[in-house]
Amino acid sequence: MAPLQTSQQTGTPLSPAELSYLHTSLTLTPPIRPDSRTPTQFRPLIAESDILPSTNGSARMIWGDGGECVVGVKAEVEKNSASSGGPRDWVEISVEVSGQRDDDAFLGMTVAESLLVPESGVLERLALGERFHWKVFVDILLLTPPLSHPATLLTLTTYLALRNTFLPKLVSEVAEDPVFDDDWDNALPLYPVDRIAPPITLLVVSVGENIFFDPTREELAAGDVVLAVSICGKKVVGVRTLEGGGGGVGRAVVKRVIKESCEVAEEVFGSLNSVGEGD
Amino acid sequence: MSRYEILSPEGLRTDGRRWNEIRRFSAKMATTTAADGSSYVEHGNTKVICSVNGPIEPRTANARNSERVTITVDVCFAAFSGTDRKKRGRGDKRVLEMQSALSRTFASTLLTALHPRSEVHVSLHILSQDGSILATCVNAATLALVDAGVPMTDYVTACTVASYTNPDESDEPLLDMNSAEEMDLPGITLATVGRSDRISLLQLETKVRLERLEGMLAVGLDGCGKIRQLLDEVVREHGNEMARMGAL
Repeated sequence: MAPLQTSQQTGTPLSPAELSYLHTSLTLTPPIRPDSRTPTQFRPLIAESDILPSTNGSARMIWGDGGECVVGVKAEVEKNSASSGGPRDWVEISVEVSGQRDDDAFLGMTVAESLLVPESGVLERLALGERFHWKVFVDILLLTPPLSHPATLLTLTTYLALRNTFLPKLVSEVAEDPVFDDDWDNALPLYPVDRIAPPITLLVVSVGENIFFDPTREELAAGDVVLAVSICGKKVVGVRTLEGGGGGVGRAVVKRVIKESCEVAEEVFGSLNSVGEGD
Repeated sequence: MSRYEILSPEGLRTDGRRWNEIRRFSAKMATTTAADGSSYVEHGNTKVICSVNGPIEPRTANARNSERVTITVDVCFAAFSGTDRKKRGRGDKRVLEMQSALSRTFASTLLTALHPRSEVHVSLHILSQDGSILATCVNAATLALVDAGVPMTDYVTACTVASYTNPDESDEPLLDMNSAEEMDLPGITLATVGRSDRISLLQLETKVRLERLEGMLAVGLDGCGKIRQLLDEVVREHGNEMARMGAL
């Protein structure tokens, strides 16, 4: 039997022959993916929003491979204090992976640093007069140990939850202690429709000249390089390599990744925004 | 005396139920493909996701028993599940107690001797809490264990009962507490196996008059019977669905 080669990140047991076969079929023009998707096509997923009554905003997503993620957003009123890190601390993100003892700091960081994009106006909406502000807790619960890299699942669910997050309307004056409108129907969205939406992160794997969105773990194992591209609105706000692969990646490929990510993200935003409109 | 009345003179509770009515109960089986068995239970505003893996090779040495299968339970409260955000660590006393209560209850009902030297791992996630959390966890775990095909004698079903004191000092049992009732009234959680009236789990965390316990148990057993019927419907419907899809 062929020795098993296990990719460290994805843990896929694929023999060198299988890896090579997969690699070849992905480098063809047009490429052939194992599940016959087009390069930009995502796997089917189930998404629900606004599922938990005790949160300000929530969402749940179930990926085809069994990955499941629940995000709850809660907001609390907090006094401004000089000792804390200022507005940077107003949003707190924690990721909990089921069955793992330690919280995965890296994943949380990925989401957090792209969340507070300047000019999005989120921090202005969190300020409550002169002395108080909202503190927003984003708790991400990864229910099943992910089979492929969970970054896409996490950020898409977080996006959905944040889009559905509402904060009670402030009725008091700037200098007073905050008093809120009792009517939940008057609550204001954290991310209004006409403003910059929360960012999402897409995983892109490049094999030869071809690039693929939403890679399965087999594709991740066969890829030359795995990039996590964060997109906010119509702009790319961050790119990082998750797996260097064998020989790195050419400049032209990175350029294409960024260009295509914007187009794909627009489609993703469109379909995520339609979640919950049906009912 | 609390601000609002738990039971109105007309016999209605704050959410409009009568004393012997349970809240809206809905459950789903096989919600994820990543585990051997899974379920999602909504009981009122209490929402629990459960997944079961097993029988598997024991992951730790102390889960290995050459006589029977070991049942390990992980209970996890989501930080956003309560009214205020609160993170519960793994060492939280209440969580540990729930875990041991659940694993002991199921150890007595599952046919543990059939899978020696292996482990059944039950993982429960509480997404939203509104009373009767332990009972909902029991029901969710039962459904997930059925979905995983772990051999068991019958359904384990659980519910809660509170004891309400009327202004005239007479008492009235209230079936299925929500969180407001749980806060104000003494109550019990009990679980039964199948149609029998045999109690496999009984938890009493507050003081209650001894002579009231009998009545509460009677109402609780009745409630467990109702829940059993609901779970049975869910399982049958899921089975029919599987048969239609050609999975059986």
